[in-house]
Amino acid sequence: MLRGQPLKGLILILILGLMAGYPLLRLLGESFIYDAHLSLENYRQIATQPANYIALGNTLSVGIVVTVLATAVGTILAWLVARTDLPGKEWFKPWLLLPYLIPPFIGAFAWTQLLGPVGYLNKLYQAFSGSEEPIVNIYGWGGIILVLVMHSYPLVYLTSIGAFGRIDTTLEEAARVAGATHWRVQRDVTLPLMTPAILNGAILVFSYTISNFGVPATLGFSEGCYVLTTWIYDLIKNASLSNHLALAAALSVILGLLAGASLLGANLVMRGKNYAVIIGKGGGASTIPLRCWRRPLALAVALFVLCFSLAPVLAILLTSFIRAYGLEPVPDNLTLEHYRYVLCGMPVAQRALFNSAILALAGATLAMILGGITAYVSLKSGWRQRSFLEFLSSLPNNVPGTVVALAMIITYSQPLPLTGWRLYNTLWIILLAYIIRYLIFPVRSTAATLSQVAGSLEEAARLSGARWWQAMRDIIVPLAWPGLMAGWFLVLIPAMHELTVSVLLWSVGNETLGVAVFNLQEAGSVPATAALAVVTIVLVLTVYFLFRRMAKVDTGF
Amino acid sequence: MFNKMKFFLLVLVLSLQLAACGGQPAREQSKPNSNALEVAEAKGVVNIYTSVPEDLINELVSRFQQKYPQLTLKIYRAGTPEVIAKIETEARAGAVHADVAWIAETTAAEDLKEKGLLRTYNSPEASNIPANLKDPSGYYYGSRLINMVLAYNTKLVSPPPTSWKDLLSQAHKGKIGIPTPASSGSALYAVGSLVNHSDFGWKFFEDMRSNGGVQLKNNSEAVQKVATGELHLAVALDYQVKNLRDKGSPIDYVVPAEGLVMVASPVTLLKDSPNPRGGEVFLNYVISRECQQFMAENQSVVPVRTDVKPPAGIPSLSELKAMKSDPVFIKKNKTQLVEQFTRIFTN
Repeated sequence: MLRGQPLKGLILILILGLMAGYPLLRLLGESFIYDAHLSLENYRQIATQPANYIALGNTLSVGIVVTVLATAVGTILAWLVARTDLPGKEWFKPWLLLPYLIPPFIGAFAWTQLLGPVGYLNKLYQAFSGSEEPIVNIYGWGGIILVLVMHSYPLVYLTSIGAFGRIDTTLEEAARVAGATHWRVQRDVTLPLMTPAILNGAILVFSYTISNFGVPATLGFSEGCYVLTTWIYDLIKNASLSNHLALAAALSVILGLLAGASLLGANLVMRGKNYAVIIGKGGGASTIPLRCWRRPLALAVALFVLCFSLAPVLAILLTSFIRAYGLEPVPDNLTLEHYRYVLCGMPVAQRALFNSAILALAGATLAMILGGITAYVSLKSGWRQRSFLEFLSSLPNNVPGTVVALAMIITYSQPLPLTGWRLYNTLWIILLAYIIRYLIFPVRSTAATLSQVAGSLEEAARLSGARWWQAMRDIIVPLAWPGLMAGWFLVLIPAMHELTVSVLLWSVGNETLGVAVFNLQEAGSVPATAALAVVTIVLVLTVYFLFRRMAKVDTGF
Repeated sequence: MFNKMKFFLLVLVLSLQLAACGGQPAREQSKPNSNALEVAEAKGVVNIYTSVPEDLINELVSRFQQKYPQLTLKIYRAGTPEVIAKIETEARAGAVHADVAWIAETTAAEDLKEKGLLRTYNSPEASNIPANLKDPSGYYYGSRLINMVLAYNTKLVSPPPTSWKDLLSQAHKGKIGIPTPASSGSALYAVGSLVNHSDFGWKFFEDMRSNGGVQLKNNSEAVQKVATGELHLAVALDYQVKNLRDKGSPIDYVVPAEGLVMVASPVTLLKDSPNPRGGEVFLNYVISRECQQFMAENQSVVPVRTDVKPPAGIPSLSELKAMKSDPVFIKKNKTQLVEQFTRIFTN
């Protein structure tokens, strides 16, 4: 009965290998080619350039500091919401996730409107103090960290809040019965139990941070603060060196190894931990009374939401209405002109909206189909095939987007063999990149659903005479549907506002929404950028909330 | 459920555009165009790769489209080095998509020419362009003269600066900027000319960095930051300053005592491009009397044609004090100029 499985697995491994593995291998190969010969010259050139060490150092320092801060913020907020009697915590929940739904490069741009040298806060300060100097400057190392912390703490918050809910309460109760105070229990029992979940979130933050392109590109440039992603981007876009792509490939290999090492490190750390104490369904964990701290803490969380989630969004909203950048935000200076311009007067923005809608829908659908098949096949395969499938489908997500994009350029700038098709300079190359990059989301969500389903249902159908496709149509797909839908959605949202990959792969007529905002911000007017950014945010939030209402599936957040 | 959702999302995106665009006035009736043979047979999409700033190129595109409705322009806008890198990557891939490259300075056009990526073209519009502003064999034509000058914020800086060396003044510490040659062709020219000048050299840029100078991505960022007061002084393009000044922003510029840096922006046609006729129509349009006049009158761009008057308030070419720029030096040392600049401004 299962004789066909190994073959299906092999075919799938071949397909995924071609789609996801091959381009990354080509990138690796390119980094060892100098002057059409196999050589270490590219790496030697990299090693002798001090600027590369600075970029690497910044990547590491930003990565580490953001990870520490975002982990602290995320854990504390998750604890307050999940375990205490914090007033209004139901109300806080969606607001605490808002930064997660806003693309980070738009967040960075929004923060410049607030804390830039001529941002609203500095203007306000100067007006009151009479000083001519701004009080804070968002540009540079510190600003990059602030914005990345704000956009990455939800990763820790989400993993921790889930684990807080699943914690085995009997251990806590035992400690309480033995006479320990609430605080002592939280410190000595709960926190150690939570460590794997928190660490897991921290690793997600680290790889998110070192992979991020939009934030350091927006905030780091003028201060000369480069990280590896922006440094690689500049190398790719600068043809003054004849081996610029090979150098970029070599740096990409280093960045990819860094991301890989962090994941490996996480696995090593986790291995020693005992998961058993976090049980599947907890519930009934005691609520910690905050007592006299209730109000001050609620106020603190409210202020946090107001200052860090809402204020930047309000700042770009305000900027998007200002007639000319730099004018005072008084009623006379407000206009809707920029919205008319970006939606009607700017063909690029219209194309970008359309392209991103197509890319998100097609990318999500195709990734869902391929991911669903992968999850199904790997569930039926032996561990060797399964780990291969798991590796191939998660690889392009585990390495930074910049690396994937460069791999696509190197692989597909030549016409495809046999067919002669050219993917470079078309929308197809972006679509392909999105599919491999986000493939792991539907794989995981479908596998989670399918693993709860007894294989006997399918077998019963087959034994009753159903063909495999009938069993598929009537049994497997309906059962896997919630997982497929969740996977579809998990691809749709990031694909709508993707920047890191498309900024390297776009071409004339094939602009994405992220690219349109980014380019407008680099060389256009600030209020128009703000208007297009607001349009993007509104679009993402609308889709997010509509989907949650219509599909009623648990999307994981 | 699934299809409904997809349908719904598409409707959402489209209605968003429709809702905002509903009240748009009907397109002006297109005028009959000059009946040159190639215009008649040119149609379809023309891909323009250019470093011309967003607002200027958008303006030109909409004017061009009214005149030639049978052609659709698609624009790839980026700094000159990025435009060149894009074209070279396409060439390596065996398919150049750009029909026209309209970039900031001639050494970039020379690079493309050397690599065999350009084709010669004998433009019927070229007779009014002086010989020193076009390639003798017709590989590229000067399209506009852009000048790198010293922009200053009129509210914050008084008296106005007089020399490039004002960038080193303690009074402006931390409030000065310069576009990077890594992403701007005109900046490459400015940096190359200053480095090659006996009074400046790399020491000047090192001192500028010590004085808190920051690198900027492009010329548009330079004028915006000076206009908002984020910077006091910046190296910038004259016509962009003038445009903002005319809109009421507190910005102006001076021609430094040592002279401005004059850059001739070339427009070129790519070899084996998808729409060669369409590319020619656009090139001819850019150097036509009509377009040059428009750029001079509405955008303060110095024209290349002898039969078009320079913009009001800008001295004629002979009166302008220009610093000596050596294209041979700049072309030869391009990589080194970019690297050294980046080294200074990223530490």
